[in-house]
Amino acid sequence: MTELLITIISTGFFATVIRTTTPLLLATLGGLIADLSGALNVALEGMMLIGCLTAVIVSVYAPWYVAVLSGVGAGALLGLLMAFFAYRLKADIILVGFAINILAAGGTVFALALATGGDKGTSINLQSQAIPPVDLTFLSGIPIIGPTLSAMLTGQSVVTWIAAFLVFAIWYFLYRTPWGLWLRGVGEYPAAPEAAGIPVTKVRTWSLVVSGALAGLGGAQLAMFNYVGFTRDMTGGRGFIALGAVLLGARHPVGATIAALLFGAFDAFAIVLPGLYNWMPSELIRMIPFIVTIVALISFSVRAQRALALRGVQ
Amino acid sequence: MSFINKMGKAAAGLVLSASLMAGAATTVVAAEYTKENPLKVALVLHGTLGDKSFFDSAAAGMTKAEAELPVSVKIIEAGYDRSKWQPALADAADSGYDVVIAGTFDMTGYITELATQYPDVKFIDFDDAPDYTKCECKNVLGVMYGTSTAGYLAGYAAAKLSKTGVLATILGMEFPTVTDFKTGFDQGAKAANADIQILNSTAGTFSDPAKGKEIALAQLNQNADVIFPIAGSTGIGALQAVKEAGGGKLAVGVDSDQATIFAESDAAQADVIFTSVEKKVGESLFLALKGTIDGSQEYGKRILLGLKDGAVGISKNAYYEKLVPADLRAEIDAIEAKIISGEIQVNTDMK
Repeated sequence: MTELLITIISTGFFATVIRTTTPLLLATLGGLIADLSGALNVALEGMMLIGCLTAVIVSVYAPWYVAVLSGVGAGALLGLLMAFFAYRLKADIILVGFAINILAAGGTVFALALATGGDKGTSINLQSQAIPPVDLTFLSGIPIIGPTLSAMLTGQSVVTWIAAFLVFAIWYFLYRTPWGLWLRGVGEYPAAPEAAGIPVTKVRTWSLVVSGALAGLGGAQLAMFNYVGFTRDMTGGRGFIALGAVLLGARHPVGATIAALLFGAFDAFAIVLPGLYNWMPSELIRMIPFIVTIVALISFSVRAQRALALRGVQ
Repeated sequence: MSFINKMGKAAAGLVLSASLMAGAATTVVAAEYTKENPLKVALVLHGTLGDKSFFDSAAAGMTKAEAELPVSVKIIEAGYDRSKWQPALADAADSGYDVVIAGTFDMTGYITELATQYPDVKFIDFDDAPDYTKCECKNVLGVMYGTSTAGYLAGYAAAKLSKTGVLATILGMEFPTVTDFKTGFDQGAKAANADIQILNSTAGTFSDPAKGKEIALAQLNQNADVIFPIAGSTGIGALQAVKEAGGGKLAVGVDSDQATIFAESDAAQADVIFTSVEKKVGESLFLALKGTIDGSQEYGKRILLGLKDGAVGISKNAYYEKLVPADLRAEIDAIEAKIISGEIQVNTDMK
């Protein structure tokens, strides 16, 4: 038990959690924006995947930041496409989302084959680049906590710091600006903002564009930092877990961040555990993140019920 | 389609009754195959070419067969959508091919079902086999690979090369075709060094390189200095972790000669893969087709191919020669000979 605690409170474990959480967090923030505007974005997975491939291919020919931006752009374009089908052509938004996921699964393999000259599994024939890590070793100059702080925070991707800033920026936007109020109003009860002259469709379209851009950024991080390169279906369901994290986080930027961190932490936990306890069946270890999710959802729902009861609503 | 299907069944019935009347057993008169009248083969892939592994290896075997044998091959890429696999296989079985090849447990169910509907078509099921006690699969050949025999060699070398005395394996999922690699690897490692410690993690996925990389980083952190990922593209992430760790950390490739695959595009990656445990799918299919043509290959059974059949092995390329010292290489060759002669018995998960 002590060795487990030592591992979990180690700086290396903390760094792993941050690393595994970053792509998930970005997708979660994307899901949150769309969800709050009332446009459920089930295409996060596909947007991430296309963001991954775009970033990898562009990074072969251009500097890393251009590659990251192109991943963001690809996601944003998909968001726009989704809005076009859903609001201009009046298609069901869930179906459009799934169509984008299917398009991404097949389309990325097709595009990969074109870019590599026939490889349909991995991009190992492309010399793609990585996002540079941020060096914060100067922090170790701070007395007492310095060295620990430096070990925990050094070596993370630039995008991780952008993601941390985005959590704050999105919270500020949603709760401290008039446009944030519009967005939440459109999601809550579209008839009211419409009567007040707020362009509901336009707000939702922009939400989907931003949502796609965030998912694309998450994809760029996944394919240019967590692993450098592209492989078929490499997002591995992160876009769907992000949808869950939005709800688990009570549709609030800080809550969603905590939920994403929770998933990241238990993923990291499942990764270090087999090395410490080799008697533990791997099936059991892989169940841990899901059990935690269920427990968290139950406790959240119980708390919400109690709060309602206290307010006399039943 | 259904009409043709019925026709196929009717024809099959006719053939069956004809052979019964003639009192002949299941041996069909061996046709003489020539370049003008070749053995018609369909290879149905439940995925696409260009995977740099399994499917490409199978296709390479087909190319070799076309060059050296009176065979004409059609490769059908069914894609990664599961719902397309059964129709693709059924189409192939119905299109007049003599031999239809498909692989892994994903396809075994469909093969079993079609084998009874098309008794005059021969099926080769590679990397898996139907349950012969439950189906009338007289026309199905199951080709399985005893990868533990080659895994033993890699494990032995890994344990000798390890400085920390800690090795690590990463499994994609736990089923026999995956764990068999590890069974041999572990046995070989323990034969080389009884005190060796072997960490193991199961990723639960074959297509998440980011996860594979994190697992490998954790294992490196826990002192492992040789990592053997058996996990498809999840494993490619683990190889990248070993490359970035540097400091003499090594990795073992899987399925195909992975160092050679990386050699051109990523020399630093190839430099840490001292060998790969290869499953020579193409070679085994070539041999099976050769046997089919000269009539020596029996169907209706499962064959387990190992080191001595040349169907599995470790890659002995330039990286192997550079990273493994000569005396250890000689030792490995001696062990390989002992496994082939049966002097060393390697455990297997292939039951």
